[in-house]
Amino acid sequence: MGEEEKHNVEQEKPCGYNINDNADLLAEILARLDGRSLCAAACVCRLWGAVSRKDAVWEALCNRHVSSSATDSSFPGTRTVVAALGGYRRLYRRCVGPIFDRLASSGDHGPQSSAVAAAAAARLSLSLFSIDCYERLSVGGRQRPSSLLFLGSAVDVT
Amino acid sequence: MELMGNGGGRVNQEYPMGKRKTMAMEQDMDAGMDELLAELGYKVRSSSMADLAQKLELLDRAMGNSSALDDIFLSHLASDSVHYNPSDMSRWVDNMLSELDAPPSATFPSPSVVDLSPINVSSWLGYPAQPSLSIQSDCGSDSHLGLESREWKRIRTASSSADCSGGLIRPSEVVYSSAMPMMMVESDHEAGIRLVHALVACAEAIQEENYKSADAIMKQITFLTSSQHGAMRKVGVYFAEALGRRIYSLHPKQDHYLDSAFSDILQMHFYETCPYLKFAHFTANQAILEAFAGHRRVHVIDFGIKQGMQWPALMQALALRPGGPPSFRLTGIASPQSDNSDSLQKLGLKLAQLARTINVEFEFRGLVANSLADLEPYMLDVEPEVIAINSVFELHGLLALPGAIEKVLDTVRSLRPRIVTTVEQEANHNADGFLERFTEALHYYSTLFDSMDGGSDEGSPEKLMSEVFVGRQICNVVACEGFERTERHETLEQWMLRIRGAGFESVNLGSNAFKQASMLLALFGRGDEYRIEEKEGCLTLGWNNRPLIATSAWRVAGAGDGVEAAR
Repeated sequence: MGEEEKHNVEQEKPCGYNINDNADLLAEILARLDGRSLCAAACVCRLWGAVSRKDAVWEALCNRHVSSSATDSSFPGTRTVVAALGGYRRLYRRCVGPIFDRLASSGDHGPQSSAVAAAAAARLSLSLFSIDCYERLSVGGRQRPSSLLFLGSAVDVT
Repeated sequence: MELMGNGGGRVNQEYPMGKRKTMAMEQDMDAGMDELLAELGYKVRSSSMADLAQKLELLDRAMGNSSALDDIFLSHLASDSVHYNPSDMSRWVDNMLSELDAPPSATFPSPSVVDLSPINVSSWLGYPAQPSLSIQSDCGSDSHLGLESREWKRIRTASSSADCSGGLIRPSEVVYSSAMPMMMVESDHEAGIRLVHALVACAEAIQEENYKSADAIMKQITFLTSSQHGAMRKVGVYFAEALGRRIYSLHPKQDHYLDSAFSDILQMHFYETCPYLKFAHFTANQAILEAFAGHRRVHVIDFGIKQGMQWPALMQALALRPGGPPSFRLTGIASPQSDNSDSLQKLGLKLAQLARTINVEFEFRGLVANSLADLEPYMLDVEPEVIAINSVFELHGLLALPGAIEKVLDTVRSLRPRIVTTVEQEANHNADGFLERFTEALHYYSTLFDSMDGGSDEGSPEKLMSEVFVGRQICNVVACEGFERTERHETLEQWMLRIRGAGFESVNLGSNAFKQASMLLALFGRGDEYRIEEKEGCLTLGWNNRPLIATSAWRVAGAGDGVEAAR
């Protein structure tokens, strides 16, 4: 009797919402993660992997880092340029992530503390990203782009 | 009495190195020979016991300290040396010590270099604020230096008093003794100082055209360099090579085509591993960006296009500027290469491709010129547009040709550019006197190598190539003369005078450039040793209080903001 009731109750309750039901909503949620968590999320299942690969998710992540007020006016322009240069995911992986990591570990006050500094970091990231993209345009050029090697090398903590 | 005092004393007598014990003994002795030692067969004057003890300590240190060259030394001692009868202990010790010291005392034929008073060493090698030398970072304090120098002097007097050495050893004899790699064992730090002194001594010898002794010192330098590591070693290696080239007049047959292609590759690696070129590009770009604000047709003339690494960032910034991107023309000037237009064309295509992806209207022209002085205004084909002229490390080469720099600055002015950005090394490597030039270069490149030292990419091929890049500059400054010496760096002040004199006025680089550059430098670990400074509107990047490169911006004097280019 109790079980039956429980079963009826479950059936009548509005269906438990599953996070996987709506990809856009999932994207909204994942977009609030930080870089590492987002990468981990991408490994969960195929759906999550696909959603995490959406550039919009990474765009939100990048913009959050920047907390940009400076680039607001050219927002749509920025998106076009970044997309053309290789997308926000690559931007984060190659530039924004390492830059903010490095600045946070070396500086006493990370760029998050000041909007101006964050905007400067964003501009710097974009500049370095464009150089990286340029290197990749190998018209019989170099094998691997290396202008960002200095970001990849370990921070000297002496 | 002797027996009584000697219960323990007798044992100590056999090892007279304990200074304190011998001092105690001295009180019991008569003047004249020490009786106790005499019983053992040693003739030692009591009054000289303390001195002898010290010398024996030194000798012990020299022989006992681990060094890779120990075996060589000991075998030499076993086979070649002539020793005095050890019963005359003072003479014997002097003899041993002089064996060890013959090389160093002979390698400084000019007494001026021998003066190792603490003041000279530290002030010569270090920059005022730093107690540490610009070459080695792990040295002791000044007082430590002083102690070492006094010790060195004492050893030297010992050697000159010894009979076997008989006065100053001539360079020809040095050839022999430096083949025997022996030296008072010293810390790396002292060896570093010796290396620097040897380098300067060699340069002095060359200045006096005393090539024989210069050659002798070269061997010393090679030996000293081999025991060094890190930045000091690189300094030793490259300066030694440069000095060698000068002494033996070794000028490799210059294949200009191969040379400039190779040098481009090297510069590329230098770009990757160090912040200097990036700093140059970012600060210059910021100035150009600001000068282009509000204009719809812009033209950049790059005096040394190389791989075009400066321009993607500018194009991106132009693409994102409020109001949208202008139409962007780039004229790149390159030196002739064997596959002439091909590489320049490819470069243009690459840049055009990038411009297309970010939607910037772009046009590229490549010009090949042997020298910037060959440029005429008509070649640059200017339209009604705003012009920026950019020169990164391209101007100093013009100083090798009389009249060239004036002509180029004239050409630049006649183009009526909105802004001219120049980046140059902040050093005076263009003095007429060789020695002056040499010591300046030694300071500068030591600091540079110091800054390049110790990253996690040490020993990687990129690092090596960047070092070769710097090494070639060193070779040029030291070993070349006349038209071949193209690395004629001058200080920011000298350039400011020159450019002002040609009818330009300086444009402040502004805080945006400063901030961006500072942030860029923060990304290169060791950010607190790099220093960005503002100097009369120009920005300099330096290492530990020594500025190394300087960016400056200019416009035609009197032009003001009234000059309106076509919109």
